[in-house]
This record gives sequence, structure tokens and C-alpha cells, in this order.
Amino acid sequence: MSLKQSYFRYRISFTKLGSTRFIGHLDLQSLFQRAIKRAKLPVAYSEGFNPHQLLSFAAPLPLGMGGFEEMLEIFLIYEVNVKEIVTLLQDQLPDGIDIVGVVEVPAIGRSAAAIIQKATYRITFSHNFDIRLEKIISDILTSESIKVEKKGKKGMSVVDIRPDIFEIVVDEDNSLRAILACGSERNLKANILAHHILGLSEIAQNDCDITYERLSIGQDVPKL
Amino acid sequence: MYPDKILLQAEKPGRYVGNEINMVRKNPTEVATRFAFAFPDVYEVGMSHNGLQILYALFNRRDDVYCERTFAPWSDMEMLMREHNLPLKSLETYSPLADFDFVGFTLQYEMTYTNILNMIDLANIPIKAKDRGEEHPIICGGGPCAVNPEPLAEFFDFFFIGEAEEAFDGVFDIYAKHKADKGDKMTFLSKIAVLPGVYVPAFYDVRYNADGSIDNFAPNNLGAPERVKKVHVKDMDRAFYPEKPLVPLIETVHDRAVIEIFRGCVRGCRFCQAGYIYRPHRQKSVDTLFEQAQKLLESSGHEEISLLSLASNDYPHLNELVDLLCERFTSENVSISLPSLRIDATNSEVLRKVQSVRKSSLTFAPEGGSQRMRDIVNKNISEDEILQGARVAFEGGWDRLKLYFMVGLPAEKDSDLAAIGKLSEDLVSVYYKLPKEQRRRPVSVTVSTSCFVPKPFTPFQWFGQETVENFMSKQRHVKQSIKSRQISYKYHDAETSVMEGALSRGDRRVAAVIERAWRLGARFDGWSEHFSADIWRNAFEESGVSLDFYAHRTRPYDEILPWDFIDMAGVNKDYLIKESQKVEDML
Ligand code: SF4
Repeated sequence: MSLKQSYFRYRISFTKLGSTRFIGHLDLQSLFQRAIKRAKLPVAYSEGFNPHQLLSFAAPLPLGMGGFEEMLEIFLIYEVNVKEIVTLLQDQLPDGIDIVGVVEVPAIGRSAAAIIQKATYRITFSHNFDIRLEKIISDILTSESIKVEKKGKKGMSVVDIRPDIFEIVVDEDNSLRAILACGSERNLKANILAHHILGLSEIAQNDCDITYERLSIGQDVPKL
Repeated sequence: MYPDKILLQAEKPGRYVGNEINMVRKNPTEVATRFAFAFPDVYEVGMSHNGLQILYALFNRRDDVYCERTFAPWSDMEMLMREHNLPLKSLETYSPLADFDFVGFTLQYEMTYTNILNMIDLANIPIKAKDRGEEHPIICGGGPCAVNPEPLAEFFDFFFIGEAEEAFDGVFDIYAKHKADKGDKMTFLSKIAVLPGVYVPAFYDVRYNADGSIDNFAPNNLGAPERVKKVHVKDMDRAFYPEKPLVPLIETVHDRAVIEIFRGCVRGCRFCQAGYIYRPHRQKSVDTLFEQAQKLLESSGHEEISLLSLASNDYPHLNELVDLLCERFTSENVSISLPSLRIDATNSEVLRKVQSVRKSSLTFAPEGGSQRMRDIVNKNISEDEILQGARVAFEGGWDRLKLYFMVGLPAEKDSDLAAIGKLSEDLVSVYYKLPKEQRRRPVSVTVSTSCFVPKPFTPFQWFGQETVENFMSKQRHVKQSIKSRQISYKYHDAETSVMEGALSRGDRRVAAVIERAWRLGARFDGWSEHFSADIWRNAFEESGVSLDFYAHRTRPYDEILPWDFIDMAGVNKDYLIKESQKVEDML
């Protein structure tokens, strides 16, 4: 840890869209490691027998979900202009991963992964709800608690997801934006909310495809 | 791309989306020739294959060719594709394979043959050459199994025998002209049939004797040569080599940069097909290799560079090369791996440098347990050398060893099998003779035996392979000879090896078995969780083809073998007979 103080920490926000949505979290890490290497950024390595790059990701995205503002942190051994980081790194990233912001943050302090608490999702249903969607959402937002069944390690249990819902806005007849708890302490998966909404409607679960996108994960990195 | 809904149901959707680093992008409508490079195994295996990297870059270096890739969909994906009527597509432009001019399969292993049929079928292309018309792609194949292409003859339009770097351009040149002239497929095939390395099965007829052996094999087309000459690269330093390798976005079997230090092998182990078919031995200079390593690491971002060859000890400048690479790349956290290094007392130095970053287990392949057996197969390593090598490894801090042997070799006796256990135990004792402070933990030795499969173009190509029952009793014998608890024993499935044996030395009649097995559901036969011996046995039975005839029968020297028509530069039949007779004289 002591060495880290002398490094320079950058928070980078990026998209994960198109075919890169199907790259899992560990693979995304290797993808960035190799990109950083090709970009010749002066990345710091951990000590020890099996040194690895000092980089960390916040809140892994579920496979298949598009991300518009995902986040990672890297430690560099000397300071590099943020614009230069963007130029060097962007060239090395596959289609679908675009850097949307970089900011330097103090080398000491909690990691992005540790501070993240909420995320904004867009949930799009393949079926039109007409006015019913507005109604369902306002019911959800005015209720005190929302009990849903959740599959856990010890079988099914009932949990209250209401405290994990911060805001829901209906954008169109079949699409909404939701700010939900996201992080190591509290977390609500977007599909749990979506299926709950569907359950309150008259649309059969099997008939309706749902698309999820994560618009941002809370920690604002200034846009380029 | 396949629809999200489908991809999300597949076990690893990353296999089917492409978009890798250094993927080649061209406009398919602006090239004369679209070539689909088809790897008949799962993505992670195919993408770890260096030959794919070479051919992909080689073909794409031409402006008039766009080479794309496709792999065998895993069984879950195949089900989804069939259920939703989705054809097999390329990864670059997601085009159905049926839209290509060529679909070229790499033939690395006999047990991928059913995958080949499956991929052609998933592309909605008829599997047999005679059922395909002008509208269908030309289906071709190459790679080590193409040295006996006969079991696949019915399914392919042509094969390329040898190394594509040397001569495949000729095929593309002729095709571009042929396409501009709107010629028909047969005319094209007869034009390329004269090129070195090209074999068009339709231009040859086979007649059989009453006993099932081949009576006559001859061209039926004026242009087709009597014998097809294998082609090989003459000068490795000047041979094409990729500079920007594809870097997958998902984890594959080997995620590393690869330099090829030499091709071929000087040793002549009699069981080893690679040793014969990749002759002559040709190496690259240290300068070339260092330059290629630099380019590959820079363009890939890999943290490992692997030195590829059949036996890296035989590279005379190994020390110099490893030193140079270490000096340049260790500070960048790049490790060097030498997958085919044989450990002996002379290279402890290299060993230390190579493994300085990551320490894994070490591998020895004595192949035979007794000196007698090693003499028979011409594996020139003595017991002393093996024990010495192990001591060097133990002293260097390794305490995990893997030992590879074969069972079912010609003239093998029970005492040879017992010798496998004995040798392994002796290795364990070598460890316990080290001073106590050098032993961190109990040594672990893994003994693996594979079942010997006689292959074309080796001195054992006439040898009748052991039966499954015999293999199994031999495996039991080895197991009984191992007493130490430090040794674990693994053995390869005998059923798979016997099927591999039948396919590798098969003729055109074996095609019926492959097709039958595929129709009965055989896929990914090289994967133990997929292989079904029952399917294959039924396939032989139902197609009326004798497994015994192809696998277990010892052929007389004067029989015409299905692959005799290939001129294997320098490895002629007389030479192989002489080698085989040397073994007879030893007995
Ligand atoms: S087994 Fe190895 S050393 Fe022997 S011929 Fe084959 S490649 Fe060469």
C-alpha cells in the first residue's frame, strides 16, 4: 500500500456496447490490461512473485447488458495528461468500448468500487404498456415496501426491494429509467425490478423481451 | 451478430461475436475472393492455434482476398441455431458461410471430422462435393491430417498438402481470373490441380481388390499429376509471418504471443508423424526471431511469449535467444515459455531464465518406460539422462513433474510396461536424495499414458493397432507397477485412440462411417465429455465398414496405402520400410 501513495490514480469512464457486451468481467480486465500495455501507459504493477497491473473495476456489468458509463481505475507510476491517456488508450480498444471521461483522483482514498452506491438503468420492454406503465410506477413509488421472492443460496426468500429504488422515470410507453442501489452494501438487480413490473401488468412474462442498459454508475467522471 | 436472445442463452456468447484486436476489416464487395477459414473446434481452441494466425494474416495481406473466420459452435449453440434456423456465420462480417467463395478447413486432428460435416451442414451447404453446385462455396482443407485426406475425399473439392505460405497464392491468382471469366467449378479445379500441393479427389479413381485393399489409384483427368507433391517453405527467415496477431477478447487456451523457432525435427522418433511430415528441419535466425517477438508483443499486449517448435533443445542458439528476450522483456513483465523444452543437464541455465516469472510444472516425455522400448521407437534418451534432467529440475525448485508415455507400441512386452512404474519411482527417489532443505514439500509426479496410434508417413504406418481390450489391460499393468503415493496415474481413453487410428489410416470408404457417426449425433469427438464409443461402433456397423480392417490390421509392405500418392519430400516408402525393418531386426 505504501508504494501506491507515490503513484498517480486515474478514474476512467467508458462504454461497453455492441459485441463487447458479451465479454465477461475477467475478460474485460485482461482486455484493458493488454490495451494499456499496447498503449505504453506507465502502469504500476503490484509487488510480489506474480506482478499484475494495478487496475480495478467498479461494479461488474451483467453479461449482455450495455453500459454507457462504466468505470475503472488505474495507477500510473508518473503523471500523464488526461487527454493523452484518452488518445493513447482509445486507439487500443475494440469497437464498442469508448472512453467517455478521465479524471485524476488522489492516490490514496477509497476505490471507485467502494464508493459506488447507485446506478441508473434504462429498462425497455418489447410490449407497450400504454398508460398502465405510468400507473404501475407511481404505485411502486408510493408504496412503503415491495416484497419480491428472491432465489438465494438457501432457496427462496422474500425481500423488500423498496429501499433499493431511488427513482423511476417513465420515458416512453414501454421504456423507463431507474436509479437503483448498486454496490457491495446494497444492490438491486434491474431484472428483479423489471420482472416485478411485468408481474403487475397484464402482459405475459414469456411474451415480453426486456432490454437492459446501464446508463451510469453514480461516480461522475467529467465528460470529455 | 446473432440476436441477443440467442447469444444470451449460449454458455459463452463471447465465442460468437468476433471484434477482436487486430481483426481485419475489409469491404467484402470490394474483393475478388472471400475465404472463410473454418476451424472445426471450439473458438478458444482454434484461436490458440498458431497456424490460424499465420494463414489469416497471409491470406489477408492480399488486397483481393478477404479471409474471415468461423469456428465449430459448441453443442448448446448448435441447438439454438438449429432451433431458430440460424446458419453458421463468419465472425468478421457475420456473413453466412454459403456466401463465400471458399470455405477452408484446417485438419489438425481426426476427431474433429464430424465437426467439419456439422459445420458444412449448419451453413446449409450439402456435405458431399458431388451434391454441391456452382452456387456453393468451394470446400478445401489443409493441415497435418491432409497427409491422408482420403477419409474426407468425398466431402472436399480440394486439399492443399503442405505449407500454405509457400504456394497458396497460386490458388488465389487462378481463382480471381476464373471468377472474372465466370468459369465453372470443375474448370477451376482442373486449373489448380497442376499446382504443387493441390489434390483434387474427384480427379482420381480408386479400385479395390477382393480382400479390401487398394488395387489401383490413378488420375482420371489429364492435368492431374500421378503424385501430389507436398510443398514446404524453403527459407524460414523469409517466410511470411504475422506482425499483428489476433488478440481474442475472451480467455482462450493459450493467450500469448508465439514465435516459431524452427519447423521440422531432426530426431526421427518412429511413432512421430510430425517428425516426418514437417521435414526438412528449417530454422529461423536469432535476428528474425527477436524482431518478430518485438513486433508481436508490441501489437498484442501479451505478457507471455512462447517459443514454438517440435523440440526446442535442438535450436542451436537457444541460449542466445532466451538471453536476448529476457534482457529486453523481463522488465516489462513478459515471461518466456518453452513448451517443448526437454530438460537435461545442459540447459538448467535456460530453464531458470524461462521460468523466472512463473513457475509451473515440468514435462518429460520419455515415451517408453524401458530402454528397449525407447530404442524401438528411436527416442534417443537414456535412463541416466532422464534422471539427471529430473535432478536438475528438482534442484531448480520444481517439485511437480509430468511424465508422458505411450502404451501399445510395436513389440511391447509386460516388462516394458512395468518399466514405466519403475522409472517414475526412480524419479521420486531422486527427489528424496536431495538435501532436506531443498525439499519444500512432497514431490508430485503425474504419469500419463496415451494409446499409440500408428500414423501415415511413419515407419509404423503398417502396424496393426492394439485393440481396446489390450490397451486397457496394458493400462492396468502400468497402474499396478506404480506403488508410490507421490505418483498419480492418468491414461487416455482407448476407444478414442482406436477410432482415431481407423480414421487416420482410412481410405475413401471410411467417409461413410464419418457421415454415419455425424448423423448419429457425434460432435467434438476429441472432447471426452462428448465422445461416444457406442455411436462410432454403430457407425462402423451400420455403414458396413470393418473397424478391424482399418485399425487393427497389419498391412504388408507391398500393399498400396491410401496416402501413397502423396510425395512427402524426402520421406519415401523405401526409407520408411528400412526404418521399420530396423525395428524387426531388434526383436
Ligand atoms: S517426438 Fe519430438 S523429438 Fe521425436 S521426432 Fe517427434 S518432434 Fe522430434
